Amino acid sequence: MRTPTHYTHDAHDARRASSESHALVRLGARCWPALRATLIAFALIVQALLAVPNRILQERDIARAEYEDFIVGVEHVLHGLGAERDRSTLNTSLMRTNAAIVEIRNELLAPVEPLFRLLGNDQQWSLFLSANRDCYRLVLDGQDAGTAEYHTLYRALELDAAGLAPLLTYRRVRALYNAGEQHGPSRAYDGLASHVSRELFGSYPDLSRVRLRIEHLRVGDVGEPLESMGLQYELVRTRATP
Amino acid sequence: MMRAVNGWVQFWDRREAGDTLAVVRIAVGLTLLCDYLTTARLGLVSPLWAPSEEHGFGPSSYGEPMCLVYEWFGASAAAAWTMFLAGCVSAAAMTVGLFTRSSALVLVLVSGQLAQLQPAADRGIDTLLRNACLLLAMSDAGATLSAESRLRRGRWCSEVLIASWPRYLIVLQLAVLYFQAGMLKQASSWTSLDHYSALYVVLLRPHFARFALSPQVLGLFYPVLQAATLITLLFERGAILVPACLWLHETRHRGGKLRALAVRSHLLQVWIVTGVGFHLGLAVLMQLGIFPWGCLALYPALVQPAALRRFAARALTLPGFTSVAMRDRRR
Repeated sequence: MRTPTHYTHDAHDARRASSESHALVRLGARCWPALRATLIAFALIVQALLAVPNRILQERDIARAEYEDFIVGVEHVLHGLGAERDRSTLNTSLMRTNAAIVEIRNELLAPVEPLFRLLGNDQQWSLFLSANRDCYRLVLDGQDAGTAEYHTLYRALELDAAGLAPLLTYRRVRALYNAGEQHGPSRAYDGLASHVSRELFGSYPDLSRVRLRIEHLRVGDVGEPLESMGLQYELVRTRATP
Repeated sequence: MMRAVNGWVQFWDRREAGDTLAVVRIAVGLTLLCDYLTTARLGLVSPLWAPSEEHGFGPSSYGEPMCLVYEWFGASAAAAWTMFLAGCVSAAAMTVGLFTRSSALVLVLVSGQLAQLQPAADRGIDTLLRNACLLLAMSDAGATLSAESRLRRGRWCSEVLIASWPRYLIVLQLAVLYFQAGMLKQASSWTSLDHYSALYVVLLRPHFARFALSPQVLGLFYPVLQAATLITLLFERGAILVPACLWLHETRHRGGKLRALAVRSHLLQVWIVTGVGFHLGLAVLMQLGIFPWGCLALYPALVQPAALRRFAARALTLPGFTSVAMRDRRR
């Protein structure tokens, strides 16, 4: 049985523990705004680093008209400062500076890169960045058994005999086959070809072959029709091996 | 220096009503849910995300898992479906405001894993909405207009004050998105080098245009498209001023020439209306999926909660709306 003295000591300890925890909570409440502001500042710095362009200049970029326009501007500025450089030196300096910036950016972000990869977090944005005059069009042809001729089943925006437009124009699927100036279709293009072929072979019993191609088009002057530069990235699937 | 530091701490300690962030939460959740349901309707869950041995498009396979979930639990169509369904449930829960923080975080993690499985199919709008969901997961976006509010307080709407900083960061995210995209638009079609022909060129791209307009027809509108190209550049590059304009509006009671100019010029309203028009135009003329809607889902963050309430109150007292409401009540 507890004596009054023990009871007094336990109550005193309990009150002291309670007031200590309240003090900790009050201290935390006082410090939290400053800690949060610090964390936000850190997050903003990291996000700003993420937003630094991470593309390294290539020789083909140097050859573009817009780079020429830019470098002429830089030459004018250097001339005004009395620090002329020849074009070759300027190009080399700019490419080295660009490569160094990208390297520093990647080094600084290396410790947090696994976290951003897990969260899928990034700050690289491009909304039709390179609206150049080269564009591409997916063309799907089918060949019936016993014939040598292909007939077109789908041509992006112009023909959709097989009802594939909802599938092929869906943004996630389009991204798999949409070629660009600096890249062909994605690694999943092959898988997409098999998937579409299976769908077509299921819908058209007479079909024996399906062929996917990407037509390279060039936009001409205002009002001029698009010029076809040929068909690329051909994939063929047969009923036996879709 | 200490004054600046104290100001910084106080700025991020501000609190406000939760209406605006709740609207962002609902819009983002709905956009993602609609996109996931479209993926399922098109029969693309396994093709996009299952390993290639199970009829996935690839590149993930049994030998190349490509994401943590596949590494831990094995690459399979079942795992892909589990992640997908978790994404759908999280998006729905976030929309209705149930376990808001957890569902937003699950949505970020699921979306991140799916992005690793099919990098080509993970677009900029997916990254943008993941960033937004991460901020919503750290906020009290479920404080009002939510099932949580209904369960806790017996009302869908609540007067609880929440931290303002997530909304501020969403505004900053919008500014960075547009500003970076605008500044990087240095290709000749976005400049005088190619006569600001970018929109003309883009509307001729078979993979993105919604209507098969011939170059001859589009050529009739060429001057309009050139002007629209310029306006796009001004709109995107001007986005860097949006946070400052918002701040000047919010502190207009402090007076000053700059604040007066910002309020009188309606620069902020013009920018917002241009943005809404820009994205609606994209939705009509181009096939961009959820991109216009995902961006517009973040626009409510530009509106202060008090202004949103005033707008809602005015909308409910509009003559047409009132007479419809009275007619419905009589029935």
